[in-house]
Amino acid sequence: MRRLVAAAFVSGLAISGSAQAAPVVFTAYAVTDGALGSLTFTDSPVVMTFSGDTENISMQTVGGKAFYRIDKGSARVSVTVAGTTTSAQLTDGQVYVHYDVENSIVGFGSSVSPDYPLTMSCGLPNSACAALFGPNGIPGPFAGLVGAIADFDASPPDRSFYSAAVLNHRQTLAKSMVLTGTVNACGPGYNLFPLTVCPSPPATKIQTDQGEFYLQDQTFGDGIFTVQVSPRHDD
Amino acid sequence: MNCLFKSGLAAVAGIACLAFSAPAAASPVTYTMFAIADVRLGEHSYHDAQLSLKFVGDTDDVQALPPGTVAGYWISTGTATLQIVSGTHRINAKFKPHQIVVSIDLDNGGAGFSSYVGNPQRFAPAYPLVADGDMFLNRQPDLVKPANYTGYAWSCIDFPVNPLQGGTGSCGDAKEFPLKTDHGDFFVTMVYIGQIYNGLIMDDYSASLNTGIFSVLSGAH
Repeated sequence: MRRLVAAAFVSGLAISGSAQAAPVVFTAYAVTDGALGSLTFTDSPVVMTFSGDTENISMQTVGGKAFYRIDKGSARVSVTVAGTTTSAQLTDGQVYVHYDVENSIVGFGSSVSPDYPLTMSCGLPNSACAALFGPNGIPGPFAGLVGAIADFDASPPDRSFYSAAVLNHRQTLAKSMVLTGTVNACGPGYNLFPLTVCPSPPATKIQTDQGEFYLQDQTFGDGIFTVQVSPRHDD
Repeated sequence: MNCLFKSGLAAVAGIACLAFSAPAAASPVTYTMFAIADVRLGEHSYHDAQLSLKFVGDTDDVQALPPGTVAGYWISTGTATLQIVSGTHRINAKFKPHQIVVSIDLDNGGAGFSSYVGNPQRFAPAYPLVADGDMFLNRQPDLVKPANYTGYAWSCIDFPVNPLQGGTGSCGDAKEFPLKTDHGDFFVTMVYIGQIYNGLIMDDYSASLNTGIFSVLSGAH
């Protein structure tokens, strides 16, 4: 994973030229725990969005597997407590969006961790997902779209476990699509026992126009990640 | 939820108005269910649309599921609406009465929007949109306390689907069972499926690769 991130910085290629540039919005939906300014919340719907342009998505291929990332854009977060939604604009440059197809991780990363503040993965803490797939991995199928795609990419015989819509699913950040998986929202990493407990907030909080924001997930539920590409600028 | 709605709500459907005490004083309550889904409303189809279902009722109408089924609660009295967001399109519609039921199964772990479909009507416990998940097992939820849950999102007419649970291995064709709204017939098609063996869906839980978010909110939001 770290190797892939480093490689993306060194030799990442823009996957679309300016003629194909199009506005794109990435959205992550979860039920989780944390704080936004003075508002602390538990088991609450959290939605993070990142608005950018497809021309700024980089792609690195390692061993035939793709890793996508976009750093340039504008991010927001909203939290709904008791039917009231509080929204905030994140200070630029703190989060990025990435999709590690091979390791079944997608969502919002930061300097704290590629997994934090909010990613979806295979059903285990992200660091353990990679070991699940491939010839020496556990036979599929897997729960959640992000794990299913990593599963049958690594082990083609597992394609028989999945419907056509899963097998034909887009594996890019540059086209509209949806992914699902288990939520990871823990800066320092989850406790091993019990697995679902995030022991503390990260030392570095995310700055927003509503104060500091962090997630400290105690829920370990499922989440949704969407890519919505609008018509091209030149259409 | 694999047994839930077969032994639970399917049985309830035949004895629809058995009244049990609600666990709290009456007050407005709103249930919502959100997922990304393939839907059709009237003459328009939408792929990977944001689908939000909403049911506004009163906690006084929340009933325990009948003895002999499963532990849980359900409510059938209220107003059900839907919203579809797809690209720049945002469509709101209202379900016609006597179709939508909100329920929660504490034995098998599931909750969401069930329905009466077809003519003659039959009960579709996992359609148009419900969620399975551990959260429904380990948090002692009801349909009264405000809460938010996530789980595997199901939109399956024939449920349970697992042949080992009495199912056919297929969810059936939703287009044969339109839900009626003020914007025409409404369908949800479940397309992201795993746990397929020899062409049959062999799991009533994680075979759905989709995710749903179910919320119980106090008051009529």
